[in-house]
Amino acid sequence: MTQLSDRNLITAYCRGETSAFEAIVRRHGGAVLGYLTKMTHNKDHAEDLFQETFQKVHQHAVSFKGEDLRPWLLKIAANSAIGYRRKEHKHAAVSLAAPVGCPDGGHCATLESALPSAEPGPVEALTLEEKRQAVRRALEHLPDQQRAALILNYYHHLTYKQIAESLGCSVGAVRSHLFRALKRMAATLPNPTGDVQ
Amino acid sequence: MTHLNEDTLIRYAFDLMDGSDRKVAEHHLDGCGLCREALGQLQAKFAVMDVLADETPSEALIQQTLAVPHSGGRSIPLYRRRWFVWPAAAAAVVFACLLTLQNLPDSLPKSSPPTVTHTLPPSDVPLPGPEVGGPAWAQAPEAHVHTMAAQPDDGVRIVHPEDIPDKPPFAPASAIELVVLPRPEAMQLTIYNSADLTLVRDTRKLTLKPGWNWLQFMWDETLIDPTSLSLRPLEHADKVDIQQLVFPARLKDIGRWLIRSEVEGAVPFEITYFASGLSWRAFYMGTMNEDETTMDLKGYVHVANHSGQDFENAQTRLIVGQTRLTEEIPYLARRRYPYGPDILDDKSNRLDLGQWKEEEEMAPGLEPWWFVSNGDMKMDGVMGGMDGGAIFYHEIKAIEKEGLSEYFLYTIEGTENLPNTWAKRLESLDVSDIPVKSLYKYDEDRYGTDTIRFVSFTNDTEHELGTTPIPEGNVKLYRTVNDRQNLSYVGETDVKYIPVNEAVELNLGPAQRVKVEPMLMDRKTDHYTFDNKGNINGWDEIETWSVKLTNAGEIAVEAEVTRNFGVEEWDIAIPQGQPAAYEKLDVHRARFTAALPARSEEILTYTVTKYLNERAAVIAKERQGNSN
Repeated sequence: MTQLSDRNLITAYCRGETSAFEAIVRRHGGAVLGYLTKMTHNKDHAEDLFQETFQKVHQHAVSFKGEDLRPWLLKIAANSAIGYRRKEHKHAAVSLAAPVGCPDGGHCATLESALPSAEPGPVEALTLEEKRQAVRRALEHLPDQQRAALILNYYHHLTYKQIAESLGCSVGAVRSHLFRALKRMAATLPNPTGDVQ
Repeated sequence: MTHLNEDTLIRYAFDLMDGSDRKVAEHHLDGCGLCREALGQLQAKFAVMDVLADETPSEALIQQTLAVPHSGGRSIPLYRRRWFVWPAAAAAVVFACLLTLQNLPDSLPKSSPPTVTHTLPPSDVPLPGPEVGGPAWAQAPEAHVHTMAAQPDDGVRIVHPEDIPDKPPFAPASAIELVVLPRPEAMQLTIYNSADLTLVRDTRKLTLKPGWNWLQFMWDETLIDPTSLSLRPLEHADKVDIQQLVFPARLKDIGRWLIRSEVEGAVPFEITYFASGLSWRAFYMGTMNEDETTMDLKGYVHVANHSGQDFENAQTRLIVGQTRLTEEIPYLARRRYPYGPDILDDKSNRLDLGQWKEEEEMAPGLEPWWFVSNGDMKMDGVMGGMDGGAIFYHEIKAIEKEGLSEYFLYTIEGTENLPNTWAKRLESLDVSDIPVKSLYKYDEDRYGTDTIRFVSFTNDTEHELGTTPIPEGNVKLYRTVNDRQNLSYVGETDVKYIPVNEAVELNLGPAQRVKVEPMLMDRKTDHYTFDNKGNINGWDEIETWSVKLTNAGEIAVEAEVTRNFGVEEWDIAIPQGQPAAYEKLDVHRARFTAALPARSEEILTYTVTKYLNERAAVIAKERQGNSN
């Protein structure tokens, strides 16, 4: 069966076909949730922002004029995430019991449980989780605009122009954000040997 | 040779270089092993970022996300405590109806037509599904989309009962498949004001599949009594069986009906339940003519919706009379679980019923007066618009009245849109030239030393009324004061329910223009009687009173003076030629009536002889003898 294009799905939804909305959520939900999880470093918050993002899609579907929905969706998600981060910065205290990002939609861990544990576990899983935590921490330390630019470029392969539209800045600013983000990441990401700088 | 530094390597690796710089870097890398190694290490370092893949949203998250647009913009928590609250999106549309259908068992034929979604013609679709601004409630896609199974002849297909498995599927833990989200085809509200009780009858066409169907009903943020929920098919009743209503554990404000269906296709259902938060009250405005002999009476009903739910195109019926309930519906509507312990849900905070009722009572002037035009109380329009603007009707809606066994039913003509937190005023009565009697009463036992003004009429055909009882409500009275129809405020009062053929007196409070001032002019005793020992055991007490009646107004009035003598045997003597008449009201009291011309003063004089103790017995015996 031929898959409907994003444009056709949005048009169908604007005509009132609710099933089209479900198709949109299923098609792009993974990318949106992945982006939001990386941005917020918290799965619960990411899921809330996920619903908020698609609520905005519902509200503003008629205003979408393009063909490819993903940059538009990520733009909405970026705005939601940055808005959330701004609010979050006003309340910077984080509880050890607060949920943190969970791999692959699994059960949520807490910051407490994410700390190094004395209990031995499968080596590969531990190593992978350590790497994830390191990447999340590295992303976490980036300023919002830099993090958004990096995630949109690295994980979602958006062009500089699309990122600029998403973040509401110039292409030059995107390149600048991206370079600075990469420079910081290079300083904080673990070495391939496993040492974390 | 200058090697490439990390900044340059990053720019090269992530394509952040201009074309000329890139060529220079490429050239250097071709000839420099150290820099190639450094680039490789950098790329390997960044490769670790790939461990963060896209997250796969859980099925529950997807379903909740799909439900959000239909829940008026509120997010739906994923069965755990959420820290985040959706920005409230305008008025609450919190009534969602989802039909979750189990897949047919493999044994069933798979030839059923596919479920398709289609929209109504443009004339029937006020707005597209996605919001385009304006109040959220009017634009929720649920209200505008019909989804039904495609049928060759638009009918339903009957299946053989043996094709349906005996055992129903287990109640789904979440909304599995959103198949139908129909708009209500008809809605009827019957508001019992005396008990904060509204019976809601909601007709929707649900698309059934043959076999077992789960119908989910959600009422978050509304004041619905879940114990009163009832569902019945309006067609194919012998083939559609409502088996049970399940309240899933840990899920608030959700009920799921299990339906066994031998038909496939769209079947109309009626859902009924009790809700609280809707109320109505009556109020009246009377305008008397200049000489206060007739009155034009206009009655209105004010319907307010604080149920947390929007009602669109609802037929609205108002019940006049008392309802007896064993439990209060507002209480049942706020319980945390339908049949659970008596813990009130925090809906009571979200929808502070007491508060709005208080506000309504304290600020009755907050009526939607803007549709009253030119002072003649002609209601040209009501706020029927659901899209933020008002729809103005050219015809005043009639309210049809009919008697029930113990109640009286007012049915508002046509249908009404009643969004949550909105109120609406409708005209219920408009009668001209009702003969009224204006009367000033003086009765120290009941009103102290004030003269109280009354306007009275009877709810009968002679008074141009008498077709229906008049509901309890507030009456404001005005009087026409000149030819230009200017009005003066006379007073206001609350009237109780007035049955047909019953007289009503409107108490307008202390009068300013008419005064009654009794004065004791003389008192003496006489006719002593004595017992065997020579002690006084009875006598007459004779009092002469002068009652001054003053009418400072410009129209003639009638005054009524009631005097209580405190004894059972008494006589009154009135001087010859005095215009006032009296009647014995009861064993203790006499009532004088006097007509007072405009700007006049009358003196009513009377002498009362009170017979005390043994004299009372003697007089009583004499009167009995006379009557025999």
